[in-house]
Amino acid sequence: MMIDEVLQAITSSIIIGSLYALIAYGLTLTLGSVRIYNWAYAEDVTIAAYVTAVLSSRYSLDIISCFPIAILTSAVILIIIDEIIFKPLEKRGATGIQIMLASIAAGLLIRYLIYIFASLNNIIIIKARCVSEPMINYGTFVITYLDLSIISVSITSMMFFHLLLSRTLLGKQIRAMWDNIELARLSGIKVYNIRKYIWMLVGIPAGITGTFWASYSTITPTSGWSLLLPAFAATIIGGITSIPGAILGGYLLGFGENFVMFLVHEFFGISFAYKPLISLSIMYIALLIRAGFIPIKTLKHVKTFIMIFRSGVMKYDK
Amino acid sequence: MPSPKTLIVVALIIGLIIGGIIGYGISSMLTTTVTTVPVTVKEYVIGMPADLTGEGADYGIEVRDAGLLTIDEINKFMSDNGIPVKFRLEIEDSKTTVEGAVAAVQSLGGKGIKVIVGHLWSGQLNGIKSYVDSHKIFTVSVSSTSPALSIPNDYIFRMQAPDSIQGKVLAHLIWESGYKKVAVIYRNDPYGSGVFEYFNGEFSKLGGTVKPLAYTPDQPDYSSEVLRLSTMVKELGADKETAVLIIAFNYEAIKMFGKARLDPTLSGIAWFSSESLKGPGILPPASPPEVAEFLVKVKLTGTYPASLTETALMKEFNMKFKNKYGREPKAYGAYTYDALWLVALSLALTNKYDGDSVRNMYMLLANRYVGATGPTTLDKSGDRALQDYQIWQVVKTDGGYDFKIIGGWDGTTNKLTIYG
Repeated sequence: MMIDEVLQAITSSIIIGSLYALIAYGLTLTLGSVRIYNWAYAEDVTIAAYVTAVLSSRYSLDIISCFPIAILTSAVILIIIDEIIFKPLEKRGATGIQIMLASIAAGLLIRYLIYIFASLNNIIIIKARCVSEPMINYGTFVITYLDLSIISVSITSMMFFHLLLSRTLLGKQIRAMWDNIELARLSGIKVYNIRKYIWMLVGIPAGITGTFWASYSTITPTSGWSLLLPAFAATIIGGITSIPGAILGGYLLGFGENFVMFLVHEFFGISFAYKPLISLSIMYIALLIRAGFIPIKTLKHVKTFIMIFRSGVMKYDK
Repeated sequence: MPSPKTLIVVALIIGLIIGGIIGYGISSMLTTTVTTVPVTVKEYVIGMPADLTGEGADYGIEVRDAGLLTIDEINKFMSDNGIPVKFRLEIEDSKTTVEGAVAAVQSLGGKGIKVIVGHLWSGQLNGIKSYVDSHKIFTVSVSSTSPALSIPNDYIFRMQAPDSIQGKVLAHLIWESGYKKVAVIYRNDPYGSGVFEYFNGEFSKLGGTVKPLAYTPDQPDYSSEVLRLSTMVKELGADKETAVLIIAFNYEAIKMFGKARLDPTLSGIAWFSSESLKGPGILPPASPPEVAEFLVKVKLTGTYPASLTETALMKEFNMKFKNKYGREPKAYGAYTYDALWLVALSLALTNKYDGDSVRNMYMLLANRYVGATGPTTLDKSGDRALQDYQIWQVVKTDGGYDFKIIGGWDGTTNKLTIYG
């Protein structure tokens, strides 16, 4: 195991983790403030990715110019979905599960519309025109300008969201909704107006992730879907409605899929065919911890074991 | 009392009436009436599951388009020759997933369809096998090649030879190109494992060294796999005798190439591939130009099951396809063409719409048929018995990038030739 390989595994973990964290952030913000498990978010990311890929490859637009367009498109689509699906359902008293099912249906509809568009234009597999050349090159360890952009923009945008939520009036209103929507409404917050801002905010990580993903890798109409599953896992790891938890979950999954996989293969010879198992195991352990199994019982056992061990050693010493 | 004159007149009238009746009866018995019965044209439905969505859609769409073109041609042939049979395709999207294929085939089965020609890769074929066997649905796959599905007396037939042959061809191609050590990255599914197993057996027999890396299909990212592949190549020496063999689907391979092009080790050695990467999705505009540049740099070379001499029928099919769709068929189009002609002729000759009858007639015809892809002779498992392989390489052309045929494997003599 060479140092350049270790560095490369860590770098890949951070890059993938950043993208997972961004999507997990968007999902958590939706879950916490609007209380919707929005599965159509995957397609929102896909649309942003396609917008970037088409604009850059067909209309020669540079990637930086693609960002605002992709973000705006994502936000508008989320607002439209909310206006024509989620809001009417909520007003008719639909339960959370019914709205979640409606979001799955909306996602499928959008996905197949993307398929039709991509098929007609012969762009089922496409990548944004973005040739990223190495910035640092040390053996196997390579960092490109794009890699660095992904990491820095993701972290900066998450810090921006943190500041927006903690330091602004809009952030306070969102946090009030997060705590109790009814109470927020009673205290004069126009909940449905704030919802529009929330969808716009949620559109930002979708637009950023889509743009980066189209630049980093080839995309297909299921790209968002394949990213959504690890992102949902990240939100579960992070505690479902905790933004720092979701970000941590995203990075944990990124490290699980790359660095941990690299290590378990090096030291135990575990096949890369089991890579998804690593991420699922991390999610499973997180669920066990959240359900209270591991910390309470294990810690008690560990504590008891240490006590017995120590008392035994003390007796033996005597 | 009537007069004798009256009696004679009455008798004559009665006689005329009776004579008329008898005469009409006799005449109707003696004359032959020619009546024109309208000929009814019998329509047979052929089911076609194909990956129209999902990452394999490039292949599935080509199969669908080739299918529609072929059915038009067959119907015209039947009509022009006064054969009262016509055919219709019932197309279902198999969504590039095993579950999608199972749902598509069950839907076709639910509609009473007994004959299927489809773009079904090995994993999908494995998924539908029990259903088509139990429902006696005669199924022809134009794309599956896994040796695990070479099973005699079932209802599954394949237009291509199993990968037991392709694995051997790849081993000889790499060995005779001067590479003795190979790092293999392959799909962990019946297709990838099948090609790898036979390649490994033959290459080891030739005296070569193989380091394998199985990966899980349909991952969003393959950074860790590419990193490991690089390490494996270094462990093998990364010298002039070391090469990489990739057994992947195009949408996964493009992601891997995107990473590998930045790796100095992986971009400095030769790469080989199985037939799955010879398709429209691997070159621009579907793939980025930098990936195509990488493929040219590492001289990506692969196998593709096709006749070494381009048959007149193949030329005709290619021309028709290009005229209709404005692009050239790159993957399974010609196999679909041959499969549909064989199935249509089997149905027309048996005139029965059941899996058993079609199966028996198909076996008889396929062993005597020479199609666009050459002789379609079957082995005992219903797979193609004789298979030539073209050897292709990605090259840069004036208009972009293309697959250049640089050699071939003769299936009858088992000999590899690289053209000068």
